[in-house]
Amino acid sequence: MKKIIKYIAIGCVSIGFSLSSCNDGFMQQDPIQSLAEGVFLKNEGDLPLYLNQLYNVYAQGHQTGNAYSYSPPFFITRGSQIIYGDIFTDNAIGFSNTSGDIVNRMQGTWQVPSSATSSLDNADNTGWRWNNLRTINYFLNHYREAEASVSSPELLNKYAAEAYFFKAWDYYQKIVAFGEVPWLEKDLNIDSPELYSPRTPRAELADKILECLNYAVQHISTESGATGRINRDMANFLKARFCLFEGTFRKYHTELNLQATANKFLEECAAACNEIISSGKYQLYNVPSEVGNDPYWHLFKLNGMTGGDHKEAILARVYDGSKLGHGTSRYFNMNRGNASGRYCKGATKDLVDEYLCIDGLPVTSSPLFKGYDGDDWRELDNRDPRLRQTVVKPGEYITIFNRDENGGVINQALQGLKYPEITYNCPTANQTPTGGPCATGYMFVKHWTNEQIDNGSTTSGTQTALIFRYAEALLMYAEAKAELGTITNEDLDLTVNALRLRAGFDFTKYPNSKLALQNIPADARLDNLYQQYAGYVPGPILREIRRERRIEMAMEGLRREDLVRWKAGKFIEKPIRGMKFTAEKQKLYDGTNTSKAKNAPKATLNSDVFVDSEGFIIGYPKSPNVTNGIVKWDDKYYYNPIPLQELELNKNLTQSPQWQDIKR
Amino acid sequence: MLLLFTFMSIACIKAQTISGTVTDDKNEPLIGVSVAVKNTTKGTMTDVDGKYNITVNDQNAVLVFSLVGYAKQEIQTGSKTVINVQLAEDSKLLDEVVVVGFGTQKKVNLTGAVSAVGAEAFENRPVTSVGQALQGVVPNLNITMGDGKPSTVPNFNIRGTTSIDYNSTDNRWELKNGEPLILVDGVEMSSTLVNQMNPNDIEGMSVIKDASASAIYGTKASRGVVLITTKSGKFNQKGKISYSYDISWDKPSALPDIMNAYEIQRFVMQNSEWTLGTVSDLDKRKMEAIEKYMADPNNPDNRYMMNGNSIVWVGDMNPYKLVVRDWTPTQKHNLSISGGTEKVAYHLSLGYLSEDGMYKIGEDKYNRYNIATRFNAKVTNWFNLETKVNYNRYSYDEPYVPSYKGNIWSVLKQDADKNINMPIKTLASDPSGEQWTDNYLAWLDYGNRTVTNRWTTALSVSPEFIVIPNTLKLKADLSYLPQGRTMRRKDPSHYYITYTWSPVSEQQEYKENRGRFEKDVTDNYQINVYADFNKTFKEKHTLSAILGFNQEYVEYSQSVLNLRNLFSPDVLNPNATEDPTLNTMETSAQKRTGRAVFGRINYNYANKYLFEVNGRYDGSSRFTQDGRYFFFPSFSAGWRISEEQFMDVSKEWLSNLKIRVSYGKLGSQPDSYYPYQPSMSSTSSNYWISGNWSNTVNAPNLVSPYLTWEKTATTNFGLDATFLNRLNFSLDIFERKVSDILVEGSAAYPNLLGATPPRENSGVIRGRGWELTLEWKDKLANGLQYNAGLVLSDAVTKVLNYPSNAIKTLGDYMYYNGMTVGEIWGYETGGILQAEDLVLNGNQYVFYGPRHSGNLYPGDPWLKDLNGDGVINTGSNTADDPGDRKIIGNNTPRYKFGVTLGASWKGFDLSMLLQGVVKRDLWIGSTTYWGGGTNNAGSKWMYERSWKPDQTDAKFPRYRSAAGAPSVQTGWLVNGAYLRMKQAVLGYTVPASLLKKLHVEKLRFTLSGYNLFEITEVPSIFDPDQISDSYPQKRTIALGAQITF
Repeated sequence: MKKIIKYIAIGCVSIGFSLSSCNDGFMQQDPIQSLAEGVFLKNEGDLPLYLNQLYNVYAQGHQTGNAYSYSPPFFITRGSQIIYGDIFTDNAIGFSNTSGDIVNRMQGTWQVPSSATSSLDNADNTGWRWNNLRTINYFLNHYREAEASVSSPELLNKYAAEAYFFKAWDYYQKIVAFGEVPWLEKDLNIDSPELYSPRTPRAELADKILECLNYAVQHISTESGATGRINRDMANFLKARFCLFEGTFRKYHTELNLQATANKFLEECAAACNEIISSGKYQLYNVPSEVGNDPYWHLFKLNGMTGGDHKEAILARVYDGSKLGHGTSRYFNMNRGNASGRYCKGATKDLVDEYLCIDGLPVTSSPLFKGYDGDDWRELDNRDPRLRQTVVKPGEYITIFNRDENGGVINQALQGLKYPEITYNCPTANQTPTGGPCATGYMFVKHWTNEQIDNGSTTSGTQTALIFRYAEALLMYAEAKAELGTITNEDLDLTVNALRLRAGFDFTKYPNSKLALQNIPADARLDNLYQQYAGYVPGPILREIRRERRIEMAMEGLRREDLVRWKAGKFIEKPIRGMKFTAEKQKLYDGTNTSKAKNAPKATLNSDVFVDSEGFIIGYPKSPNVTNGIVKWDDKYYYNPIPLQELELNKNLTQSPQWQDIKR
Repeated sequence: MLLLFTFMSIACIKAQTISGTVTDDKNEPLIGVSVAVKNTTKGTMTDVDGKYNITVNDQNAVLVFSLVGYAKQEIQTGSKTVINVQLAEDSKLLDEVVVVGFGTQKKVNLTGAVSAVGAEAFENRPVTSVGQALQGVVPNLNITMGDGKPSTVPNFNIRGTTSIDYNSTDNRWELKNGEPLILVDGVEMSSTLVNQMNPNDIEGMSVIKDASASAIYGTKASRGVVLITTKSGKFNQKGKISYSYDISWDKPSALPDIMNAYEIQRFVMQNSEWTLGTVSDLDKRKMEAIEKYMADPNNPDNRYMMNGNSIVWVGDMNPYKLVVRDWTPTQKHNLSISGGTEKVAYHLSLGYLSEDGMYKIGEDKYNRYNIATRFNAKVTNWFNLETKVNYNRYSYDEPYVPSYKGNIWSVLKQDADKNINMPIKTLASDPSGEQWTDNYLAWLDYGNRTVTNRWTTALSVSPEFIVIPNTLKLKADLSYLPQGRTMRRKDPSHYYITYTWSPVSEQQEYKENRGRFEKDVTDNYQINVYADFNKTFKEKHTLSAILGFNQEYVEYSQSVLNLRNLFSPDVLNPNATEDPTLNTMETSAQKRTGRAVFGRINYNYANKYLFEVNGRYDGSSRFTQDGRYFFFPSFSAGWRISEEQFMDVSKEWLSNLKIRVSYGKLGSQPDSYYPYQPSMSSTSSNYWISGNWSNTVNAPNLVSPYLTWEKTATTNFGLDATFLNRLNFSLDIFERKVSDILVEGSAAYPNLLGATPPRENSGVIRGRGWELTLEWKDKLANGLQYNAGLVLSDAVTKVLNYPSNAIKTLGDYMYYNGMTVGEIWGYETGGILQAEDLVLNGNQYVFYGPRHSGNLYPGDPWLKDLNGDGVINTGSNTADDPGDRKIIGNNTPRYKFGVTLGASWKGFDLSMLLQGVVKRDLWIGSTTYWGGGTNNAGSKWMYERSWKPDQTDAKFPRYRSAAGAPSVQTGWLVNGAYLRMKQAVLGYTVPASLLKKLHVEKLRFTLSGYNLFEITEVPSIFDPDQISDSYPQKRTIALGAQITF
């Protein structure tokens, strides 16, 4: 018996030992819930699934939720680039906290950040981010593994084209922010030599971006739908934007000595726009007259899933408010500042002044212009109808909006009239959901919506984000043709005049309001500003097309990029002013008008409001390093600095011109 | 001689019956004493009167009398027929046996650092869990309670910081006080499972602190090992039924004392005056309204005032008084049945615990059920079998508040305008009608609940083959542990009144009925097979060895169902919703396997020179195929100096003296299941494409190709001594160096990498410390027994290498080379500014000293300009340029101690455990501690002690608004030392003589307390162990009764 046990025992132990020496399947455990590298991107269906992650990275729209992050390409403002991108330009003032601070790059104290990662939460974020490009390059290096399962090679090319579209977008953002950057073809690991790449020369870089875009246009899906997968129209639109940027940048930034190649890009831009326009698929949005005569304002408050239904959208991000929503409208409405991308914004007088009068003449020469006096915001009367759909006149829209009743209505009888609260010192966000203070007195109403669901939602707002819209394609077409010197009156009717008609100009009553090459109104004020701040005066037709662009696209996040490519960065040094704080307005705001019917929160001169010698409100009166509302521009700001640590780690990388460099 | 032999041989064949009484030294009869005939299987036990009868075959027979807790006696029968025995209580600690990996060892022969705890630390204590029972009992076994919630699992840790690890919830690298490997009867269990055990089921525990003894457990044991043994039946033991009942009452050990509405508003106004501001009209009106309310709180019109269209609430209530109960009851029932015959022993225990939580509104309740059964059988003389079935389950039912509203224990101190001024509900007569408000207590009350259930079953079978008696055994532990957890949450839609009369609901989550259902299942199979050899050669050479094989398999899966737009919040059915497509489902699953060969060799020469080698060849599925198996050995040696001849002179008073030394280097397994595999996770893309909600698969993460194991090298030096047979002394000094810690990838890669740099094995930390144990046990002539013990320990950890912070940036969760764990950087306080120290210039005070940031007012602290640059600042915020800061203290608890005191006399017994920390610095950063304000309640304790214009000699600076807590500085660093009466038990055992007729063996009553009081300088509004805003710790008073039949 004992012997038997012994044998059993020895057997057991030796079986145990022999088992343990194996390195078999039992010991190999792969992740169950996530896909181990090497098993994905093998099937046709994997390709779009992977590409899906890039949509919200580039087509950010109004972002999501209420935790806003900084927006590309400049990373100055947080939250929706469409809504807030123009803050801290000459279009809009934007406080972000109680002390009335503004971002460093407007105080002239913009410093080179020490590292790329540590400053992700800093207001002067550099945008030196390469993670999304790695995601794209990983795809481009692996998608051919699905070749065997794909029914036709065109399908494979179609998905590659989508990746090239996003790659072009990524590099477009980088060329805007940094000029030259290293061109990467691979997804890198810690032992890749490409980690130490130098900057790729601009000419080469821009050609590569254009190559990506041309590949995308050629191979990408041709299906329609602004809210669907990336299609040929979107690719053409992005191509037009990039080419307009690169063409005009080369033309005006003569220090690059690339003027000779500018027209190539401008022609590509015009051609891409032409394809979109001539497809006939798109048209400017309008509303039936019973809804209102303010289609421009209506365009930006479209809700939810309707983004795909109207024909002005080429690329739009939609929200259902339940699975995906945002708080943009609520915080836009609150207009109070805190650190997370809610701005206490207001329009500048400079923007307001640029709108033509309804007769097509500038404020300096139109007899219809009423001046800035009184307490009725009369300067907004008799103007381009888009003005009062962008900046609110008290007694309209938000100032008589009743949020407390079910549904929310714009109704003065119910809500009375609440004048904009005016103070330089923007309070932090609190829960009071009425409109917050507006430092300039010109409160924005473009992007504001009277939809109760949006106004009341911190995270479930449904306002559609128009990322690429047809109007911009028209403006790009006009600008490119004007820069090329080939613009015709037919082109103007197709573009600028179409926009003015939609806005509500009456060409019969005011023939001058229709732009024609032989009939361009003079605007000495604007020409002087160009001369003083940009050092050149564009031709009259170009000046008018740029005016049209500033007006039509106001508060859509394009202004800073425009100033950069026009080499007109100094424009932001124009003294920042708000409305005229007239004696009548001082009386209105003296604290006695607190009834519901007429409610003007108290604002005291030289305490809440500071004015210049002509009585116009001075922007940023208490902000450090800002005197008399003049913020700082330095030509080195045309390129963002590269974080010092990045230069230290990659000695082949050079610092952007004039910025602090490391010891070399 | 021959005659004698002849006589004896005659006697040999003559069977005789022997009887007698066994008593203790007080002449009380002893029941259940085993009486066995040596070298036979024959045996019996004493009855309730201590009497026995046994038949022996010859006069050479030797009777062995044994009972747990008493010294064994052997008596040769000779010709006697009546043998009365008096058993002495066993105070010979020298014979103590300690459980070590896969076996036991005599404590005197140990060469590693091992502490043992007996059943007395767990039985009939005023505690509900194993963790509570162990606080302060074992030196350098640190038990940290995160908060006082009944379901909270404490953190177990041995000797302090063990590693640096990434916390993916909070996205930061944390120094980790890692948990040791915990085994219950040889089966690996988590601290969560251990904390669910019934403390009464524990027979004993060993804590292995150094590498020598833990190496046999390999890669999981680098942070030490805790071995828990549970109770089993004894062979040859009379059947016993024991029942105990305890009822206890808990109260919070500390609660914030917040100011009332009047005091808050008074301070808001005072603060304006003290800082050259003006009191706003609104504040004055609010003050009047509050006074009016407080004069007549029952008048509903006094609850609020209007400011324009907004309601300004002006009520006054103390949310803590409303929500925290004064005394909450807990009941415990324990029933155990055990016994054994010659061949079979059994043990069954049932436990039930019912604990009421502290919430008065939205009450919480914890219930726990424990069943433990154990069965041992001597099947043949070569085969033994042990089986064990344990089951436990708890449920915790608590209110749930959406995370957006914040943590109740901090929110109640904040948002004074909601939680102090606002009622919980509006009245039917209000314009809104009766509605909930946004007061936090309304969130507790309106019906959100979370119910968590957790259960574990442990099944194990341990066969044992005796191959060569007393020499070679072959054993196996085969175990299976299915565990599960469910969580059900109902989250009804919630509209509430804030500052207008129409109810609002700000987050989507509050607008609809929601529900959540979570289910986790873990399956765990473990097999250990090992051979145990033990033999003494030529009397002096004792060799024992263990060689074994281990295999394990762990599979975890979780599914989470988020339900939205439910028709009814009570029906958590994914189809009973208005839109089933909004429901979401998440799952996660993980699997890991391991295999190992392990072994140990002990060699002992004449009980003088002791050597031990442990080793384990360990493999884990967490590593890549090529680097999966590693061998980790450890070595230790001991010298029992007291056994040397030259020590005979001191034998009288020094019965044991031993020095030990050990060294071992162990690899650690990472916590994550698949650390070395790049993987592509799938998530929602957060984008609608063509009207469809789309998912996506992300790019794989980067994994460094140069990864290896984290290694822990421990060196331990120990000294054990026993004086006068009564005083035990034990000292261990250790160094634990952990290298190759997988930490944040160095920042040395350009951002072009496009991914988080992969983690690398580059962190190094080193812990040093010591442990001291002193035990004294004695009995006086008058029968008074008493004992006293002290455990004292210390451990300090330094970070030796942390390359991702090369410039030594300071901050929370930032580490740098040379940093001592726990160090506090702060300013040096100059003093409190009085009005005369400042010059009033226009509407601002000017201080002609170093320039401080922000404005200074009388009552503010001023700081010393340590670097002499005229400005008070943080410099470049690095260790090399900290500005005007320096290291002003360290918050690591130093010299942690536990003192046990016990005495018994004539049925009364008293035992006490005092626990504490000798040195610790605390900076209390809680903003409401420093002040309140419009939106913060603020601490009344602080208000009374802080600077005011009429109290300029106060200890604390000017009471400030909560946002203005002073920076960390020397002036108000709190001495965190404390002494706490952790446990005190007073018992009375009814004399056996009185119980005999009732057939009761033992009846005992206890009165006990837990966390009774503290002696400390920590402000009384904090528990010295919990300076944070969380569920409070508790004080407990308990009554108990135990009866044994």
